[in-house]
Amino acid sequence: MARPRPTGPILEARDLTLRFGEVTAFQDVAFAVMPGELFAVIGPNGAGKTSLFNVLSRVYTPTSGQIALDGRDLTALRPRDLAGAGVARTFQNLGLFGPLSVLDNVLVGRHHLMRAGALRAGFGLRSARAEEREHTAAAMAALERTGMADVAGVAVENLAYGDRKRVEIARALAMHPRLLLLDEPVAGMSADERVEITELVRALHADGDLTILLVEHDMGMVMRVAQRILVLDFGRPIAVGSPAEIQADEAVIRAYLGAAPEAATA
Amino acid sequence: MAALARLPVRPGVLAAIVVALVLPFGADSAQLSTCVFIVIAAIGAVGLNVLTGYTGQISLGHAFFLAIGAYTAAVLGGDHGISALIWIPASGLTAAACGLLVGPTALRLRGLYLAIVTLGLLFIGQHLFFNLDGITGGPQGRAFPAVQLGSFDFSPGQQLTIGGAVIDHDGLYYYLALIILLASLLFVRNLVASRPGRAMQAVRERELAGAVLGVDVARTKLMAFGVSSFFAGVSGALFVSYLSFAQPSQWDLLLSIQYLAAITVGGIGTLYGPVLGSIVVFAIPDLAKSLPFISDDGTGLSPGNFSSILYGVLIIIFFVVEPRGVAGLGPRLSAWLRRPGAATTPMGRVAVQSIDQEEAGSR
Amino acid sequence: MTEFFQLLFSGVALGAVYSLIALGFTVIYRASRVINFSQGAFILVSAYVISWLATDKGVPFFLAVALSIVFAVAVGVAFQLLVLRHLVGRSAFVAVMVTIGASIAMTAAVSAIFGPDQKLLGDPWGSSAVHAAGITFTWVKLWSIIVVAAVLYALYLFDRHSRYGLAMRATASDHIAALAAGVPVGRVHAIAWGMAATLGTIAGMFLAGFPNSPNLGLGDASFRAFPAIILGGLESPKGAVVGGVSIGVVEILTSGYSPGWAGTNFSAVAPYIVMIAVLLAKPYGLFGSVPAERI
Repeated sequence: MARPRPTGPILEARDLTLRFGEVTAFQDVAFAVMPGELFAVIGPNGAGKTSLFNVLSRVYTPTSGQIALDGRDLTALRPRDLAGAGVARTFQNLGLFGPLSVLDNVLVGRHHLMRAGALRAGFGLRSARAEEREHTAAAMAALERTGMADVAGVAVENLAYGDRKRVEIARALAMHPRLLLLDEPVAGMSADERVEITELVRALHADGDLTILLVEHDMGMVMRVAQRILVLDFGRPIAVGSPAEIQADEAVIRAYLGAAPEAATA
Repeated sequence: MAALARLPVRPGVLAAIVVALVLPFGADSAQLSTCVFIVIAAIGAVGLNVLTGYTGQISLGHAFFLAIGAYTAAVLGGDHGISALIWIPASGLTAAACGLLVGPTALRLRGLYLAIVTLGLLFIGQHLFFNLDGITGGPQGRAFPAVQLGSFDFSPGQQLTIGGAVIDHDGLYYYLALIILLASLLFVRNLVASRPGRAMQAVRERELAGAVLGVDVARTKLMAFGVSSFFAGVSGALFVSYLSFAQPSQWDLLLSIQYLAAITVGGIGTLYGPVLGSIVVFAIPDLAKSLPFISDDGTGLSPGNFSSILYGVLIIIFFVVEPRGVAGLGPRLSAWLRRPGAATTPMGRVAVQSIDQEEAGSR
Repeated sequence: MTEFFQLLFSGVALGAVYSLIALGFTVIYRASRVINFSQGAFILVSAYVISWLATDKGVPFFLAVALSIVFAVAVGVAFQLLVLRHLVGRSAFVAVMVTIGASIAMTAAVSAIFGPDQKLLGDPWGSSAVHAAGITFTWVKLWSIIVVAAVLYALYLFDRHSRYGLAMRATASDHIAALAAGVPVGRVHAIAWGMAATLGTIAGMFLAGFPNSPNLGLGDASFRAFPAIILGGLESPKGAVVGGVSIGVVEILTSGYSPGWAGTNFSAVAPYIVMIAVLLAKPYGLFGSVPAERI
């Protein structure tokens, strides 16, 4: 799994601003994520986290500013080019395909690595079947890592919410990303599920050279897993630093912890 | 040959194939004729199911692609006397080419807009068919070639004797269509269980999520259009060849709707749903003729009106009561039989519901 | 030049009827995000009911129209309550199929009940007309234009001043949120269907007027109103009228000046060609906006 690791930041944002007409989602956001780092963006509701996430995953195009992936302009890529560029993401409200099986969902993540077209697949040619076997094995390996291999044949819509999130993370892993973007991975989960997913994220990061950027509302989770944290408030960056630094930061306490004390103790 | 490795093995399916194979020996000529139309139509329905059922794109233009196949057969087989071995696949390919041609317009549109544009395509096509007299015979229609394989042809009166069993004109078309239908099912079965098929279903469920995962949404839709149109073309060519005569007025909205009705009544986004639905929808007009309160002389309820009312109502009932269609009745029945045990398991929730979720999600 | 203005007048009048049909689509779409493919069947049923009452039963014409409106509204609301209510939150595809199902069943029922022959409408206008500057203005066409203007104004007032106007807009943008905010979503949908049925009846009345008559092909006009709503965008009443009138004018002018090579009846498909051309340039119509996708 060892890949040559570039020395510069894997993802770098400068003066990033997004506006919808009169409304500013966020402005002047700047940060750099180093290879192998687990970087988190936090902020109270409405701070612009999800909009930032959607800019990073090419759903929205920033109004101004630059984002560079390995030093190259990210906005030049189309959303579907991201997978090939080594970026995988999960969705806040699950980007899974309900009636498809767990395995098929993960295999969609392998789409960009596979070649078979309608004819080869439809006629069941040997090359297509071999490819299918190879990628099924890779998908199963990803499911193993998130502990979902047992339910590979079950339709995703029949799973509990926490398990669906595991499937989604497995799918992102199956894409063999260098950069994994997680959009509020523990949103809407029970306390037990939060602990499990937090542990899973930590384990995945400890496993190899995966760079993870996560956007999260849940302070407890972020403090437990992140190496560095960017705090947004009303669309403006107010602090960047290690969990300890962030916890001690006056501005953060005022903006975030003060506003939502229950999140701090979660 | 490779395809054989994936032959369906489910006992129910195998039994259905056996029944289908011996059916011509138990049916009279009129019944067999109905069966031929059903099997031919099922090929087209299997195609529409790829586009609408698996990829989630509503098309009202299926009749247009049936017509393209039909007129390709007419020009190649009829006007130029080319073998059926050529014009049957060529009909599919021409229709597929037309599908890929109109694709780029259609790709920019979603849901309701696509439905309306394909409706426009249907009407524009019909206008062309009425006016291109040289190809279509104009409003009066034209004759279509019988299938010809080498020196043997499938015209009425012809028959084939194999080991004492006599297969007549209807039987020949029946077996030819059945072979093509089974091959189509096999193709679609392989397709939906592999890379392109998963991409189609991803597009149906959540287009944007699919795109972020690396699925080329436009290409996937185009491919679905192509595959769907191919089967429509083959179905249209066989249909007119069996009929031996057709007018441009046949390629109307009602025909497209019958195909949509077939896939929805049968079970949208399921492999065998289109076949089951075709049996229901395309048998109704012929069955209706034998009902006591139906008359063809203009005094009572005509078979045409009766069947229109019936499948109009069937579409509504299936959507309200059983969105999984006839294909969903099996699981529902077995769940009902096992009722004392547990609550109904929503096994294989289908396209209709998942299109719903996509809609709800994008709202 | 006289011929051109004569055609223009006919085009605007036909466009007025298309506008009424298009407005029928718009009111339902705005309230429930459903395109009602059965609008043509409502037009057909209404025209036959008016004809039956006014010519067979001797009911005064405008009373016949009023009764037909009552009947159409009853059918529309019943359809909403019995069928569509159970499908709220399901996809656009489901609504398309279900309204198509209703449409073919209703059309076949009309054919079975009234037979295939043309009927008389029994309207007071017939072919009566005023002549000015060499152009013939038939009364039925003049009235159709006046009525469309009145209907558009009434819809504007409804939008602005009725609490249901606001409720309808709220329901359209998010029916779950509207429900949570106490909007009677079911009643809003029923009102929309009632309005569409009324519009369909009025459209049916004009469509079956001179030089037409109630016949089984009447409902097909609704398919030609589709280009109108595409041009105008699905949500804007003003757009529906602009689109409807444009399509009517395009259709009539092409019928007058159609080149020979375009084939017979080219005017019937001209609206679709215009529609596809517009969609290539503006995928969501002239006034429509790109729907945002949430993830």
